[in-house]
Amino acid sequence: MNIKKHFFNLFIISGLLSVISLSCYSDYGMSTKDFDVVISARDNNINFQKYSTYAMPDSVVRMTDDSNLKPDTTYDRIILKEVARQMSVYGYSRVAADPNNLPDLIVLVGVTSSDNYAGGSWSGWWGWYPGWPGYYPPGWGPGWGYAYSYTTGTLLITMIDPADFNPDNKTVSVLWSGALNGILESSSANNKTRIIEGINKVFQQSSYLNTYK
Amino acid sequence: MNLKYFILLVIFSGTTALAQQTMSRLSWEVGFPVAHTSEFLGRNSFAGFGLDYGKFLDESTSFKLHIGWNLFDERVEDPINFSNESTSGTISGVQIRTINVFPILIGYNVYLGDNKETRPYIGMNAGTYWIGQRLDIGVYKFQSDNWHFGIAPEFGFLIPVGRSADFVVSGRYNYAFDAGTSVGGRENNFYSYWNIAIGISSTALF
Repeated sequence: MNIKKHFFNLFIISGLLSVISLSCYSDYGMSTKDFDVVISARDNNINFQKYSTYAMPDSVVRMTDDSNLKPDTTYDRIILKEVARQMSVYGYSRVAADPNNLPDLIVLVGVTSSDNYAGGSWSGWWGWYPGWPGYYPPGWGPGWGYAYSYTTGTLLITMIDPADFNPDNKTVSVLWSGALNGILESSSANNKTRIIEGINKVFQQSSYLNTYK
Repeated sequence: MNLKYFILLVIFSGTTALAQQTMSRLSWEVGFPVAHTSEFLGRNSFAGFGLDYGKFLDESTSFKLHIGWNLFDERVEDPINFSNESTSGTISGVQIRTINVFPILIGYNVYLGDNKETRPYIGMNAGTYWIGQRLDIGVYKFQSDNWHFGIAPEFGFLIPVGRSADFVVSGRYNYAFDAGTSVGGRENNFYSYWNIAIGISSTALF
């Protein structure tokens, strides 16, 4: 048998083995819930125990470039209620938004509805945010950006210090941020449970926020 | 593939063309990740195979070309912590971690004993490894594919089962040297794992 024949046979056999071996790939038993990702990030220089009050808008912001998008607000109340509950568990008192008497923290809740939205697109939010006093002029944004590329259906919870802003750079420092990705992508009946569990998880993995520590 | 490896393969192919007695081997290969490969995923691989084709230079030595494949994969739910000077955080979610390894090696084996009895052998392989490391979390995928130079010392036994066939049991330690970066951006991107192979070697298989 000549050398070409040998290698031809080897290739045939390796091809067959490859096909057989591909069946070795597992589906890992993934359910829709298994695609949920929870991310939290903090500013290392902040001691959260010095804060005690916060203000939070009564609505969830839709962060989208599509002005024709009709937002689905089905889960907004659940989201805001669970965020408020977790803040309370960690010892923060919710207060009214009063520009003349600033709270220690402002908690902002938003939902992205377009791909790759993160990276400065919070800019301009302050000026039009419905029902929210304009603490900052339009164009101001967080002092540091996000390292992640969020896709449609990401819930973002952001914590800022209203007293800590930089008028020169027109930025506001983000002290803490949490993100839940995938939760709003499905119409599953389990969405409510997954949202509550996700918010619970993002606070659970951010135990440094606990003022009782 | 690096040009020098390609040239070595061509030279080797030319050598086998002159061979008096060729040998072929088909093996099922189980993989065991070690060192920092096992830090990425620790699950053993039962999905793998190896094909060897070579030539006995004399009664006790042989050259061979080895190609193979191993799939290492694991479902991991441990959170990922990240940190830099100003920021730190945690990412939670189900992760599917995968390493695909395709070695293309040239080997030299030395056999002990008589070819009518069980023969232990030792060998050294060297060549290139294509390694694809992948992390899936949520809807995100992070992948790093690199060609690595690598070496693989080997030992085993040939157990005669017929006039021109041997049952083969062997162990091979694979070390793929640093190349590229890992999915986490780590510079020191080397891999190591053990293979235990069970197969049939024959001078008449192909």
